[in-house]
Amino acid sequence: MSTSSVTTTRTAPIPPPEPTRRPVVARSWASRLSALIPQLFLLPWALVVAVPLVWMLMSSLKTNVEIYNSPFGPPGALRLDIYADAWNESNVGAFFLNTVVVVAGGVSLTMLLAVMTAYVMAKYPFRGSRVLYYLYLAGMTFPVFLAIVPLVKIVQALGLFATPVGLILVYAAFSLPFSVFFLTAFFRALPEELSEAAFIDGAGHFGVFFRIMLPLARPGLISIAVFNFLGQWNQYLIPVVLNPQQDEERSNYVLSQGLAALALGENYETSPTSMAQLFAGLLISMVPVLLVYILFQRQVQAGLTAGALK
Amino acid sequence: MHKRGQWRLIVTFTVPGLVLYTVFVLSSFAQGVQISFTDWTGFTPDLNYIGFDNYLRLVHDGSWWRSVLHNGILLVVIPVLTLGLAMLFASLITRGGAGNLRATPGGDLYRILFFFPQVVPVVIIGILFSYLYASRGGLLQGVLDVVGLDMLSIVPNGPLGNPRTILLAIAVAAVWSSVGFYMVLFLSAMGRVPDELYEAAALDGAGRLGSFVHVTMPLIWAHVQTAFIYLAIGTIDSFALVAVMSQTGAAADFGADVMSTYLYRTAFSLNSQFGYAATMGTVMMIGSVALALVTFRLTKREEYEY
Repeated sequence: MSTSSVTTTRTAPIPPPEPTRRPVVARSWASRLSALIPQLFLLPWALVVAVPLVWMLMSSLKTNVEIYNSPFGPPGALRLDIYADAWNESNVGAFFLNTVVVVAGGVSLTMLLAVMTAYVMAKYPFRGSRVLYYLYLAGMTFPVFLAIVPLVKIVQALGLFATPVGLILVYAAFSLPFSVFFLTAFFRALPEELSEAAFIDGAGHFGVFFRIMLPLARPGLISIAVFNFLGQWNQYLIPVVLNPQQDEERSNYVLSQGLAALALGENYETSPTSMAQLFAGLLISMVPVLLVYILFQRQVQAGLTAGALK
Repeated sequence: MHKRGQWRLIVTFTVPGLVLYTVFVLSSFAQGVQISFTDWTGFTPDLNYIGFDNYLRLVHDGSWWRSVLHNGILLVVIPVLTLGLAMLFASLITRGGAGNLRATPGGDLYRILFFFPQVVPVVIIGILFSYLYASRGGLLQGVLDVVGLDMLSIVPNGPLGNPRTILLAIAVAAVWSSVGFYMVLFLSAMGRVPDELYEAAALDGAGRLGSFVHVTMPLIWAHVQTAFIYLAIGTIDSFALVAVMSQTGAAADFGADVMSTYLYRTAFSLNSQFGYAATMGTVMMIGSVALALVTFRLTKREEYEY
């Protein structure tokens, strides 16, 4: 097509071919117009994503009456006390602190166990490591619903029902398979030379792990820690089943349970700002996620997409 | 060569994880299958093995099949919409502009914004969308007000109160949250396609659409395939979104029961039928494994080395 017009006039060094030869003005006009086509699709989706989030922020400052009468209108005043009420009266504060305890414990335990298991699977192929591989693979393939009924009995039998420790152990156990696979791949990709040199210098197996391999694995550790943080902060099914209501204020709930309970109307219209308190609660629970997302942009996207490519 | 002392490390490093994993995960899976052959209620220690009775009952359970159907609908609607939009946006961002190789202005901002809903906890998305759909003070009604429409006259009882629309309304929330994630996945795959291939396609006279169909798609097909499996399995596992948006957790089927919410209700609110619920769990496990195998075979295409 466009090549034919070029070859008739020239032979050797061919300049980058121009698909069409039109007057310069017309071409730039046309190209400017077609440059807008992507924006025509991308901008509306940007609005679809952003508007509900902004609406949630705005509604968290409005009274119930304001939300009903003008869903788009700005709040009549900057009512920051709604956030205080959400924290204290709607008990979001307790849910938040419970979640922090459980997720901090869950992620730490997951990381500790996963990094050790992964290191062995990557660097010490021993008899039985194949078995280990298939055991963890099963955990990654099977749905958690197969486990949920017996899990109640196991956790009860250990006396851990409706306790933070119970949640921490179960979160860590179910986060292990993916974390192990991710970190095994990461350790396999690390160069051998440094650890070889350390062994020759007389370092032991534990010394090589702690002084050489662990620091080298930092980027992978951060990715998988962020992945587990998001996943465990997000968790709903496990706390609903293993951490049911223990008192009137539901003071043992984690955020996802507490907010769902608030939303399901059990606290509905208890105060003139009950809806705003719920929205404030949603936003409070998003703050840590937003912080992690901003601070670890690259790792979040790398960690989560690696999950899809496993 | 460094064999000495390695067993001490292997044991110290693998045993704690394996113990935790065995106690909570492996033994739960094994007992799940075992309990599915019993009439256990969970309250009393006595249970009887009743063979395949639970499985026979499941086959004749209309509510179960409705849940399966709903899962099936979500299984088609969510991946098609999500992956379609994700692919559209990804190709617009990488190959936007007049030429084939120019990046679209604002591409990085779009990437960061579109991805964000993926990290928002699912329960929050469910609550947020329930309020978006609310007939009083909801965002959707607010938008319809602008053009003078009444949502309730179009959809009686609102999107979540109407058995004909509730599944779609839930699917929209799921798509909203995951389009950006798959767009980023496709962007990273497209970034690995060498520019020379696009130059060659342009030389052959391929336009934007042509180079997308003949260059981009075949080269990133493996990623589309994994994305589909990932989404499909995620759809089977979906619980939080459906439970929150349909308030299924406690009461009854409002038209959006899926396998997971029906299982949950059977086990934890309908007379605690642990044995029967475990049967559903076992069937779901078989289903997930089968689905992964089938999808993998169906979408298997020739892969290109580049």
